[in-house]
Amino acid sequence: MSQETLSDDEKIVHVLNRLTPGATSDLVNEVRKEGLKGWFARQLKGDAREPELLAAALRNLDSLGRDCKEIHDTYDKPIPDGTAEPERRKLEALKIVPARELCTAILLRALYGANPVLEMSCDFFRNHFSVSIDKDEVRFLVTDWDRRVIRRHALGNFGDLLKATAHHAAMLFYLDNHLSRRPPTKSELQMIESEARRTTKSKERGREAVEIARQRGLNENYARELLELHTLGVDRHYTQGDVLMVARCLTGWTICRRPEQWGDFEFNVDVHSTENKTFLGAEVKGKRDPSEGEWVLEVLSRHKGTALFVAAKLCRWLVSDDPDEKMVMRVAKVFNQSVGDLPKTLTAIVEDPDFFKRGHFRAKYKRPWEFVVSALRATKAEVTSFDGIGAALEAMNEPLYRCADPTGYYDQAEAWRDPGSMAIRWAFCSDLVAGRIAGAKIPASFYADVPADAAGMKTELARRILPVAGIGTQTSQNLDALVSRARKPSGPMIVGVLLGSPDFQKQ
Amino acid sequence: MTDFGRRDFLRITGAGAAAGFLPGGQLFAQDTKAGQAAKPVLVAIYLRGGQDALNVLVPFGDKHYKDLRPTIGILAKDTEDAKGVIALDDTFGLHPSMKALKPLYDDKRFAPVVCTGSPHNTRSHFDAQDFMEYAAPGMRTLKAGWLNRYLAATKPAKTEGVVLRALAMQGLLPRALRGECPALAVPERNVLDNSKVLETFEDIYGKDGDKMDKREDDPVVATGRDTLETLKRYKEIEAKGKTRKTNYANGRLGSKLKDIASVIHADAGLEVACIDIGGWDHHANEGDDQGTIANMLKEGSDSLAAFADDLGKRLDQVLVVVMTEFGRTCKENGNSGTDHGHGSVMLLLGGAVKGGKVHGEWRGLEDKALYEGRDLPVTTDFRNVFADALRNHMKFDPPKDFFPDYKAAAVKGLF
Repeated sequence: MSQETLSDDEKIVHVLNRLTPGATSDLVNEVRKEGLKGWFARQLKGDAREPELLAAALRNLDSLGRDCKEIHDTYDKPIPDGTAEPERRKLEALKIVPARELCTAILLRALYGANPVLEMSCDFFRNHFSVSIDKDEVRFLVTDWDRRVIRRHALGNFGDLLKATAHHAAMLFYLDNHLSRRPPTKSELQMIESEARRTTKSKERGREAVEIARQRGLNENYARELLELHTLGVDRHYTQGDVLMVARCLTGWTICRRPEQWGDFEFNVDVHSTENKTFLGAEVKGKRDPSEGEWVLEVLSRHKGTALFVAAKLCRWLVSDDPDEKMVMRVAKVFNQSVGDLPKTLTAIVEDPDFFKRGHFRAKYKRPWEFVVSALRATKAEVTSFDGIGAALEAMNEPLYRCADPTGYYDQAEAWRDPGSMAIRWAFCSDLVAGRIAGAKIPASFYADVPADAAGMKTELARRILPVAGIGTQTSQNLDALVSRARKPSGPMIVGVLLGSPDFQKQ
Repeated sequence: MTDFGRRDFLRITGAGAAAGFLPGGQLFAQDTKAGQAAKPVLVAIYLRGGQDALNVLVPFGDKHYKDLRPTIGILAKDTEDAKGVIALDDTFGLHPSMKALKPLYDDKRFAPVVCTGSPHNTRSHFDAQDFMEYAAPGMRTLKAGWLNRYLAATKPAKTEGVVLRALAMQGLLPRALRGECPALAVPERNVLDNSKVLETFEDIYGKDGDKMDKREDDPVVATGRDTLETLKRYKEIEAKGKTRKTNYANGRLGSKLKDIASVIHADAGLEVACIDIGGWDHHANEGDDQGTIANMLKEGSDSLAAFADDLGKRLDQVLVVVMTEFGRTCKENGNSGTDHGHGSVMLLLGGAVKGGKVHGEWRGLEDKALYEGRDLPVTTDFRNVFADALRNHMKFDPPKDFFPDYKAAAVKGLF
């Protein structure tokens, strides 16, 4: 057990646990046959043909392939004044369809998809460039965002991904850049004040109107998060002055509201701040086009700080909560030299001498999403809808596409280890094996050919759920005691305990 | 949430767990010693979605009210067909569903504050809630919610034995409670009461026959043991404080307030409790004296009155603040609902609040008095109410930067 290097089988399980939504016995066998290196290289293309059952299920999700305009036209229908009750309800119900279908698709792909490494990478970048469907219109924009931004670039180039996020309505809306405009000029403010004073005959109301107009000016929200969360990391390499400059460069980057191109990126020159600017010490000439913003994104995507920040985050996600600094530097170097080539970066992580360290093997606490999805995969659960799983994720504080903060969900165990939190995981396990999770069922076939005696049953089910690694000695002993006390130990009971055991909480 | 507090928390509780389930645990402050004054408690109830202030505290005495709300307006007086407001003074009355709060108002325990809200003009739920829970309108640089900042600023010097001072009655900590100081998000009742599951996993996580796996070093095992221990202790405290005689209304708020009352009765050192109640975004068919809002207000008011009754004399020790992210348009829309607005209303109950009076500045519903010609203006910054509550009830004077970019001002006569 305590050899420094992992066995070939352990290496396979380790890669599957960290770079896919969860190892399964079937997948382990598949990789054994193909060889880890070849399998991984093929996975990095992310273009394996989906199984027909999945493809058919995805085809049933009507909103999935639609762009923002189509979603807006089809699902966000205006509800005119005086609409009768049943019709109004129908229109309201329609509005939640696209986000729900998207979440269903994300779950089904994570469970049954032929491109599990791509699914893992999508999960990472969904979180890195976090947007929330709880913020107003975002729910109509995420379908297109997930397909044309996240999924398209998750195994592509980071710079391309960054630029795609910056031009997409979901991000422009979520972080308010669509509202950002150059600050009003003095004469514009004077006009606003005198107009307000004229209509209200109140000096105070006039001042209020000016205050409102000021607030309606520059919005630094996106500019700040672009530097802090998406590229350089908080307070590294840049100053508050740089945030301001980026915000000015990005004024006028907004969303088209004309019906024929609804939701497209639009540059509105009227609200663009056209003076010359400096960013990270370099000067850029003010222009009446989006080129300053494009330049900022190009600078950021090539910046060494970005390489370091993204590499560190990837290592936290894939290697350890507290990755070795030298490893991060090595990965950052590959990221930087390849100008953000994500397959090369992921390969550098997996091929790094630190990756297969014994101390990392099954040592990382699963996030709720990782836990739920890996449990469903390990038990070959048949999932037909998102509802029950969505509710479970919400109870565990990680509802899909609904992170309340632009930071994305936490990627270190501490954040998820609330006292009390484990009880919610246990309840989920007990509900899952009992068939109490809506839309998710472990099929009878999963229990096929399991020995009837308690000891044999336990050993075989542990092998199926935790391939290669099995369960730890202490868990095994405690489970034996539990099983021996049970009047009639059943497969589902043992599986419920295995999924809730300390061993299955880790990857 | 920042991770440092959590780490401290785990270190302390993990040590207890490793020693093998210290009886009673150390998660909660020690029980109040005899003769020692009970700690003040702040119960923050957040109504998510933007509650329609004008149908909660109804300005029936304003001649414009009726015209602004032809289908959803509340009548000034009862008629044969409909119930009218419960008048508090010549201008304001409570929605008829809120009659349970009238005795508390008469008793000077209950105080509405009109036209409260944020100086920021956002009408986004997301941003408005964010700004309010961090108590920093327009700023996104804070890392801890306002209630966690309170916990941090008043952290006892000796942390041992006084670790858990805050509860959220939901699986998810609200942003107001996030930050370095630990708070327990109490799982839903069905999880909490599932003793079969908890016992099963106590068998798996709890016992170490031999030390082969060195499980006491395993943070996951420690978390499992923390969970078992915390919930056990929480249930003990709750059971100790259980008061069965009060009938709470059946509903979301009632059951949560009942649990909080149990914890308060147990004198276990609770200082802050948070409850979220969603579903106040009434863009359509909000109803008048009957209907959607009426039902929600009835459940809420009955529960608050039951809570006050259950606490009895302890109501002096407990201040409830009911808040929402913004008010709604004064004029009803074409769907018998209202849209996102600006100024709102806050409701305070218990503690040292000077009830029996409608607080705050009211400018009337005349067009030109309205914010952008459509919404109630904000005449009381919500931070004034927060600061007053901390200062006068929690006996904590917020230092200058506690609310960033804020000029301190008290709400006249509220405490």
